[in-house]
Amino acid sequence: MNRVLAVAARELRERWLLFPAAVVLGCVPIVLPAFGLRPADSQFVGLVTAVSLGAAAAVIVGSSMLARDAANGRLGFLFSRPLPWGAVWGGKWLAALVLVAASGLLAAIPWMAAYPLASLGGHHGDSWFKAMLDGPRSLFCFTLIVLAVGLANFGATALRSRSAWLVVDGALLLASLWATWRYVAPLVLFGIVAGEPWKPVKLVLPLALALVVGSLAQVAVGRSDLHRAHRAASIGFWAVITLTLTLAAGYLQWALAVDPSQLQAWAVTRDPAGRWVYLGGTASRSNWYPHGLLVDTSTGRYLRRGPSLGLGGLVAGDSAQGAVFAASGRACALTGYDTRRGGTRVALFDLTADLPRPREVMLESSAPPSSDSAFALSPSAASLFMVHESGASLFELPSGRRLATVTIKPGWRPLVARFLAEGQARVWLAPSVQSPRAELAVVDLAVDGRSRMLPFPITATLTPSQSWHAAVPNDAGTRILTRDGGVRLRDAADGRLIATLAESSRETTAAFLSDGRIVVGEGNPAVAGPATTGPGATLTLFDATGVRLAAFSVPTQSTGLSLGAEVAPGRILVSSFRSPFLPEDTLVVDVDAGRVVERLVGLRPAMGFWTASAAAPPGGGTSSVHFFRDVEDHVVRIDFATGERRIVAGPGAPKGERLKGL
Amino acid sequence: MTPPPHIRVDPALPVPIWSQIEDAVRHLVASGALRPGDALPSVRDLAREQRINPNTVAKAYQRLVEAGFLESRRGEGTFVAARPPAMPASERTRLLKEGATRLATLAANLGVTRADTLSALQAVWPEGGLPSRGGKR
Amino acid sequence: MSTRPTPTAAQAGPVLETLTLGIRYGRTRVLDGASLAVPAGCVYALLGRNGSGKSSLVRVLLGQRPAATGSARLFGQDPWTHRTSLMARVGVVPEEPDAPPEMTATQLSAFCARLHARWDRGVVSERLRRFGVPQDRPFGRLSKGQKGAVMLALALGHAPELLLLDDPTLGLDVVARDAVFGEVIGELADRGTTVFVTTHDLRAVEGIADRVAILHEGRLALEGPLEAVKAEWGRPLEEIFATVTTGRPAPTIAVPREVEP
Repeated sequence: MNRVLAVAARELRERWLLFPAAVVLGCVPIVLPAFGLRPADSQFVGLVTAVSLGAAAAVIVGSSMLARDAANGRLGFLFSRPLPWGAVWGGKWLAALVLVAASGLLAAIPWMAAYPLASLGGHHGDSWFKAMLDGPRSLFCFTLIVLAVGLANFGATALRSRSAWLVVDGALLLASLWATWRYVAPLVLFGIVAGEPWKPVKLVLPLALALVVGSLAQVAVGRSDLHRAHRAASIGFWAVITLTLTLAAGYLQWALAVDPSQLQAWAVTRDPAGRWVYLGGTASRSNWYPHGLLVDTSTGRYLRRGPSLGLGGLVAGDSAQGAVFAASGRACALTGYDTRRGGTRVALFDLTADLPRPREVMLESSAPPSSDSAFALSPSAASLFMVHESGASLFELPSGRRLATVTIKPGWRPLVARFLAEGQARVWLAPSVQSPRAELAVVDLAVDGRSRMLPFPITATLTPSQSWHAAVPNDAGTRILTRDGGVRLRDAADGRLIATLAESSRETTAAFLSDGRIVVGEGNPAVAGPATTGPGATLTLFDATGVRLAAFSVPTQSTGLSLGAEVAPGRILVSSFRSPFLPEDTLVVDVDAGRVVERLVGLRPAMGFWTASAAAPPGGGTSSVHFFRDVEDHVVRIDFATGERRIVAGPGAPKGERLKGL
Repeated sequence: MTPPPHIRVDPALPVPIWSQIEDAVRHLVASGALRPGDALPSVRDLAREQRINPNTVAKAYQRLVEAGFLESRRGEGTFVAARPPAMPASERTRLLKEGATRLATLAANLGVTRADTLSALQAVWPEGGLPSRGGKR
Repeated sequence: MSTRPTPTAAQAGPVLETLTLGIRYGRTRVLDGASLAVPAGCVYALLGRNGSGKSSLVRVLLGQRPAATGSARLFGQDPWTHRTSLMARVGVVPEEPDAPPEMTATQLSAFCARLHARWDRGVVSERLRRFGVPQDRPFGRLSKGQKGAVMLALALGHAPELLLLDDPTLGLDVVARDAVFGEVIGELADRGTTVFVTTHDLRAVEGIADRVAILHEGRLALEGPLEAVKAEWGRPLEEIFATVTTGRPAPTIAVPREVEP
């Protein structure tokens, strides 16, 4: 220890001028107000000065303590004495850290005293001293100092040695940058690595450690010879970096290797038959990373289709718009962002094949997908309908060629897109959030290019929260129910009012039955009652022309009242939604009998991605398979025809078999 | 007290240094420059002065002690022996012959006549006097 | 008056030796299979021109570079792996004075005192006074000769068993050179220190070397006791050196030879 201190003392003595310089520079912000600078600016100047001086000290000390001393024989002087290399290394590093920290502090103390932390905006009652003792922050500062000194040392050693090893350094640097982009950037940008407050430390620590290891090797093996020192420092440094990158890559692979049993699904899109589902969600092992799994619920086999980083740091690959299924159930399209051309790309899956290999299709001259885009896949998956704020287009699949386009005037955004027939698509639009009006619009587009856009008035202006469910079309696309201050039945082609079914601005919901009848639900204001058997809602049954047939009440909460899919002829799901963390029940209501026939405890219908629409089943009719979620992140598949229940995702789901190589 | 006489060696000569020291001391004793009981320079001092290895000086002194020319007194140094042995006549003759041969060869190389050589000899060794050695007495 | 004491600690083997030592810088072979041995109490002179590999050999002996082939030994141990303990027994005077320039001689002596188990600051100070070196002037502002004197004083401050001098007279005038070697000789006489000196200044070592070796183009061209070498060649060391290192035959001059008794 004595020897370490002797070496450190000598290093400090050589560079003692840093200390008075720091004090002098630290006093500059105090005198600046005399020149008319505002106190807030003076503080900023003081901070910048302190940090700059610390950085300058790090560069000065780091570049000279080993590299310069090897070149001018100073290291030879030490190594000719009975001084272990550890004492040389330890003494020089100790002096470097002390010099950098002390000069930074000395430059900061004058203005820290002049401007107490309590007087700065946003801090109340703290002192500078306490702020500096904060664990993660001071560790981060310490790591930064080590990093600065280590970088200066490595750089100076490499440059002074002028050996061929520089080429190796350069090559490894490029390789590491690539590997960092490929394996570390996703960890950070997708939020896989846990966040504050230790995150900055985690990112910087491996680099600092690698530099320290490099300098250890440099002193132990290189000794007083600069060439050998450079080679040893390189090997030590790159070994640690390689190890870190390998670990990061392994961690990334592990974090992405999620099977359905580990998924916390927040969006479920299903094919019409109920066999394939596309699940979007997160997993506990990967924090915020948005996984996407395409699962064959009959076999448990699944594909992984999560996003990755493309060129320019933009998220490439499948976006949160998720999947659309063809009405025939034969294909699925996952839409995503094409980073190279800036448009939309589609991964088209042939679900009839044993191994549904995706075809990557770039949509010709398309806009990139956004949260306001809507997609639909034609019944035989021969074309894709894409609607965004400024236009709607039909693209041929699998070539991606644009077949037809219609421009949409500004001020609209798509609600529901649907194919009426193989070559005919229709989309209903609501006013955009910036220009609310009492209007909706319908746009038709055919593959031969015929198109038409027709805005039509509705009864009330929709609020943004109301507008996303403002139009509910029937399966054929010929009638819609609009929820504009009530529930009104309209013609889907021109918006002509056929009948007003409810006149209430409170919780209303409505749905078509497969035989054309309409069910409207209205909630009663909540009065105190037990959790899942609230004061209830009233369901009213209408015929296809809007004539009232019957009404009955169901015991459910009225908050978030929603009428769901028809699980069997005449049987409809009724659910409520108060909070994502409270368990909710879903009721199966027989509208002909006028009563609840089944209560699905703790389950609520699984929602898809909100702008995409579930395709209608082939040839109309109902599907008996439906998907539900509960608060424990289970996704449950219920076949109402057989009563079979299967957990498809979440804890307890089968791990399934991943289809690889796709 | 007169200072000890100067012993000079030339490391460049092919003659071993210890031999040069030995010869020098012998000559000094034989010529009376060093009298019995006189102190010789210490090993350390002579080595430093002449820029030679002390071991070499010690070796020379050791041989001289064994030959009876010097005696070593612990703690005091090295002195000329009380009764230095006289050089055996054969030794004297040999050395003299060697010296004469060197002089003759030198004269031959210079192209000097015998008569001039003898004159040179007489110049440094005047009739009845003592030869000057080009050094100190 | 001092008498020469016996060498300290009877050495079972040589103080310094190399066994077919080879040194490489990258692809270049600087030293090729050199074997030499320095017994205790010996003054060993390694001669060679600039670039013959002398300094590389010294660096390997001091444990600052590993050997490529063969080995080097100090006191029977590998200097690369035992450098710290070996340097306590060795005093080093490098080719270029390498002490920190901002420290004074007094501070340097104090610094070294913290590194060695035994250090005599008085002896160091006395030696410097004898050299006439101002002890409170920063090292960087001393003359070349004074710097060399300081390096020598620092090398001898812990009474080492082996003194290693790498080209100690480089750039020094005759007076300074004589002063340096005078100190070395004094140390020799007092303590029987083994001395290993590399140089291309032959006159300085001709008087004091016991054994000599000549390095030429990475190989030992000549090695042996100086006396025997000179007896065999019949010429001064300068001529022997010139002949060996240039391959030029020396002019023949008949010099009468002394017969060894």
